[in-house]
This record gives sequence, C-alpha cells and structure tokens, in this order.
Amino acid sequence: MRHLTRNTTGALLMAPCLIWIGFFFILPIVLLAINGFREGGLASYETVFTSPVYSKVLGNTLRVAVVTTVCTLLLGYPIAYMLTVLSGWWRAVALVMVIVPYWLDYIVRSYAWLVLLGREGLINRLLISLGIIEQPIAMLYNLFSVTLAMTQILLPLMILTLFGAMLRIDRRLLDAAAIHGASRTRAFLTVFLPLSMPGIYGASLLVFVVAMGFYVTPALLGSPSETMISQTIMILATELLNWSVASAAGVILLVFSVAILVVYNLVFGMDRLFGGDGKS
Amino acid sequence: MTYRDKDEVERSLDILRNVLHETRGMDRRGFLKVLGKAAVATPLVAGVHSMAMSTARASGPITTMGYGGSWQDAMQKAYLDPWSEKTGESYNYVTPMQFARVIAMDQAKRQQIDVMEAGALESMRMLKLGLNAEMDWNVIDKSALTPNQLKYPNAISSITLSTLMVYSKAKWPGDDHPKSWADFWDVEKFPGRRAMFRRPYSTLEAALIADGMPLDPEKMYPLDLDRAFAKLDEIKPHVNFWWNSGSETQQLIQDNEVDLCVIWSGRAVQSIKDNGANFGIVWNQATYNSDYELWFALRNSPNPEGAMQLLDIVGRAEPQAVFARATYYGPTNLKAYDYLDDSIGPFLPSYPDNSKLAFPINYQWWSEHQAEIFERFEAWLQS
Repeated sequence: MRHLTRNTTGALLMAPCLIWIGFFFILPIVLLAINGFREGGLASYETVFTSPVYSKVLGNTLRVAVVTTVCTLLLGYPIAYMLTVLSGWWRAVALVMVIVPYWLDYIVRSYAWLVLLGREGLINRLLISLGIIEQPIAMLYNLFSVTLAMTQILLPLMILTLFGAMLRIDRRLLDAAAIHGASRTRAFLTVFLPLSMPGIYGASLLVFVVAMGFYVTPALLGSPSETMISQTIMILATELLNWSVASAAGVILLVFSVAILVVYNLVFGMDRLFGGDGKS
Repeated sequence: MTYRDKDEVERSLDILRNVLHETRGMDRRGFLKVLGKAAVATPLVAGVHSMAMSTARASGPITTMGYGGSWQDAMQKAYLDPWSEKTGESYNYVTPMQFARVIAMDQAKRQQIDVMEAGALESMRMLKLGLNAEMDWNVIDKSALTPNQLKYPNAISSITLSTLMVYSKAKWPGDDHPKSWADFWDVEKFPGRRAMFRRPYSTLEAALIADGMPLDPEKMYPLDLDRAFAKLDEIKPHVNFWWNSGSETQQLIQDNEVDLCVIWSGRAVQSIKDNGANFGIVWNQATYNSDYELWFALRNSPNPEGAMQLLDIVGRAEPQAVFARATYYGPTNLKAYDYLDDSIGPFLPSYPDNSKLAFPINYQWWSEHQAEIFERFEAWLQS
C-alpha cells in the first residue's frame, strides 16, 4: 500500500460510499427527473406549474412547514437549555423523556391526537365535565391540529439538535459576563443566545426539511387547506397512475428544497449547520 | 396439464356450504373462528388426497396481490385456502395492494402476480391496458356464475360495495332522518356535522342526484361538471372533514365525530354491527359499484394454470357468501344470497332490495376522465 499516494488511498476509501450514494440516491433522482419528461417533453412540468392545485399545495406545504418549525423552536429551545443546565442523573432522565416519544411510530402519535382532540375526545369531555365549556370545541381538522401533532412529532429532533449545539458553548463566558455585572437575563441575551444561533439555524433547517415531506399527519388531522405535496404525489403515483406528473412534482419539490438550502446558506453560512463556528 | 376432476371443487364447496349452514345467524367474529377451524381441518384431507392423486399434474404455487388485515383473512378463507385444498399447492399473498406495481411489472415483462382482484377504477384501467390473460373456459365453470359477472372480457366480477350515507341515530332517533342526497345537502332541515369522501367519483354523482338528476346512468353521463361543482359549493362550508381512507370513516362514526357521514357500505356495517356505532344506513340513492370490481389472471405470469383454477373458485356462490360474511362486501354472484340469512343479507349492497334503490356509477367513464376531474376537484376543495 505504501506506493499509493495519499489521494488515491482517500479515493479508494471513499469509493464504497460514493458508489452507494450514486446508485441508490443520485441514479434514482436522475431517473425520476427523466420520468417527468417522458410524456411530451415539458408537458408534465408545465402541468405542475400551471394547474392551480400544485402551486396551492406547494404553498400549503411551505406554510405548514414554517409554522411547525417556529413552534418546535419556541418550545424546544427552553427544554434544550434546561438539559444543558441539568447534570448527572437528572439530565439522563430528561433526555430519556425527550427521546422515548421519538421511538413511537408517527402514525400512532398522529392517531393519539384524534383521541385527545375529538368532539367527544378526552379534552372536550374534561372541559365539559369541569363546566368550563358547554359545547365541544372543534379542535380537529384544521391548521391547529396539524401543527400541534407535527410539532409534537418533530420536537425531539429540534431539542436534541439544539442540545448538541448548546453543549459546545463555553459556560465560563456566562460567569465572565456576571463578573462584569450583567444580570442573568442580560448574560443570556448578550452571550448565550448569540452563541446558540448556529444551533438554531441548523436545528430549524433539519426540522423544516423533515416537515416538508410530511404526509400521514396532515391527511389524518387536517382539512384540504393543509394538504401537503407528498399527499398529492402519493395520489398521483398510486391512484391516478400518472407517474409523469408525479415525477415532475417530486423533482420540483426537490428543486424547491435545494433552493431554500442555497438561500439559507447565503444568509447564515452552511458550515454553521454542521457545527462550525462560522468564522472559518 | 389436466385439471383435477370437478368432484374436488364440489367437495371444497361442500365444506364451505356446511360451514355457512352451521353458522347461520352467528356474528362475524364467531363465524371467522369457525371458518378458521374448518381451514385447519381441510389441508389434512387435501394432503391425503394429493398422495392418492399423485398422477395429476400440480401447477405449482400461485401469487396474488391484495389488501392486508381482515381483507387478507377473508380472501384466504373464502378463495385461497379452498384452492390450496383443491390443488395441494401453496400460494403467496403479496401486500400492500399497489396496482402501479402490477402495471410496472407488466411493462418490464416481469409479471410476478398470477391472479388478483382489483377495485373498480383499477379494473377498468386493467382492461384498457390489456393486462389480463385470456380465460380458459374449459377450466372455469361458466354455469356456476350469474350473467352480471361476465360483463367484461376475460374477467369475473368479484365483490361490490356502495358509497352511501349513514346518520346518527342519537341525533335523529325517529323516522324523520336524512333519507336522500337532497336531505344530506339540506343543512337547514338536518343541521349537523358532516364528512364526505375526498375523491370526485361518487361525490359528483351524489351532488347531481341532490340537485334533482334522476337515477339514470344514461342521463347522468357524461357528468355535467359545472352543475355538480355548483351544487358542491352549497355543501362545502358544512363539511367538517374530507376523508381519504375507509378506516377514517369508521373512526368518525364510532367516536361520534360527525352526525352524517358518506361511507363505504362494508365499513359502515362493520362499525354498526360489530363495533356498536349508533348509526343508521341509508340505502336509498346509494352510489353503487355494481359489477365493476374484477377478478382476472395477468398475462405472461409464471403460473397461468394455477390462476385459472383459482378463477374457477372466486366467482361461485359459496366462496362469495363466505367472503361477504367475513367482510360485509356484497357478492356479485346473486346465488350467494341462498347462503346468507337475514342477519346479513339485507346489509349488503347487492341485496336486491338495496341494489334496486341504488345508482350504479359508470367507472368506465371515470377511468377516462379521472385525472382531469381530480385536479379540478382538488383545486375546488383547496380554494
């Protein structure tokens, strides 16, 4: 092996990974894109852009994904912060409580919300028996129920990613701020929060991308206004057997997601997403 | 190559007939239990039999594709286990049901499915693409079938269902309950929470019937889309949920989430009879699948002989009665009602008293127009 240059060794070591990615990831995507052209050139792509359905669904997808990301961030940040403050056993217990729901199938978690939020569900029955309300509140089949369930499902992902980023923050900087007379709030706002921004960018992007592909939860808990693109692609591919338009819609979703990534990179810097300090 | 003698088919049908006779009036669960025991007993008989008949050529295992769960149980008990017993061969049951895969396998000239049953729209598309193999009427006994089962070339009508409405008996306990699509649309007279099917087929027909269109397929098709969507505009603000799958409707009525629900008849009967949903079924103006759901063998499949032998079973009265009792879907072989007593017969869509009130959907027309209407329907729903 000694006569191999460093570069050749590197390439050889990378080869299995590259072949794997090429065969199981790049090739199918290329085939998918070609499939979109199969029936009459650009006709399928044109359908996706000109038909009112697909642009509407793409808009819904974006809206639901953004709302979900903001909600998980607002709920997840304090919990992640708490995890960094806790130590020893308490942190282990809290981490387990964050992780365990993540192992539960998301169909089960979506279904659980049907039981909780239904007209005769647990929450309505409780509120009625306590005399707080007289008529059941309509909590299901709207943006609220979809966002609630998606937030619950994606919260562990947000918390764990934020937690990882926050652990890297040197807490002695907070002590230094205190020595200089900063209150705890001020120390948090001027020192900790800015240092945790790369974590926020990274975790938000992860949650956003996963949320864009959601399918079962909006179908089970939402109204037609919360229809997401994966649902439509699914119907196109399996019921209407319109593989050409389904492929075109899939490729457009991919291009759309990559475009968001590129913009994100320009604004925040990609290296931060992978734990860099943004200075390099 | 020769098909085992007809006596064997008769013998397995005898077993099914006996089971059906002995379990008259029994509920679905009890029935399935007894059927399970019968199925355990029969392979033993078949084993002995196949040794004695070792000269007969076995055609090897067959592969079929279908839905999982209780559907699969019923398929196996009504059709596949009797086939196994008859031929001494095993079968593969492929899930999930993905018709797109069947088409892809045909295009790739690698058809792995020998024989299957498909829903109305898939069946019509299958005929258009010519995916089915030619029937061998020397193997399949045509005389055991009723004429309505043989409307389409090289296929046998399998089961049927209606898409209809159920109403909450808690909300409308007396006789003054919704009875027609016009009543479903009448939110003044029948206020309440409503759920509808999130597909255009059957939904547009219901809208046109509510708008006064007679139950006459000749007049209904081609559908007057503008009129149908105008009528749907009226009901849209009052629909609380648009469902995508049958299991959602069962949750909706069992949890009293809605008061009026469009639902598939088999799902409704299961929720009402087995799971205690306090809902009543409206058979009047039900949109009916009639004979569009088909059994067929696939061309260029590995085991055409085995497929034909299975097709000889699936259209007959006894297996269809077993399947109907296990799933509450309607038999297309009307002689099956000889084996179904009044605890079950009147709950099935092809029961003559029910089917004569129903409107038969034209799935041939839908299979040609589904794509563009789907887009319009979704655009309308999301606007």
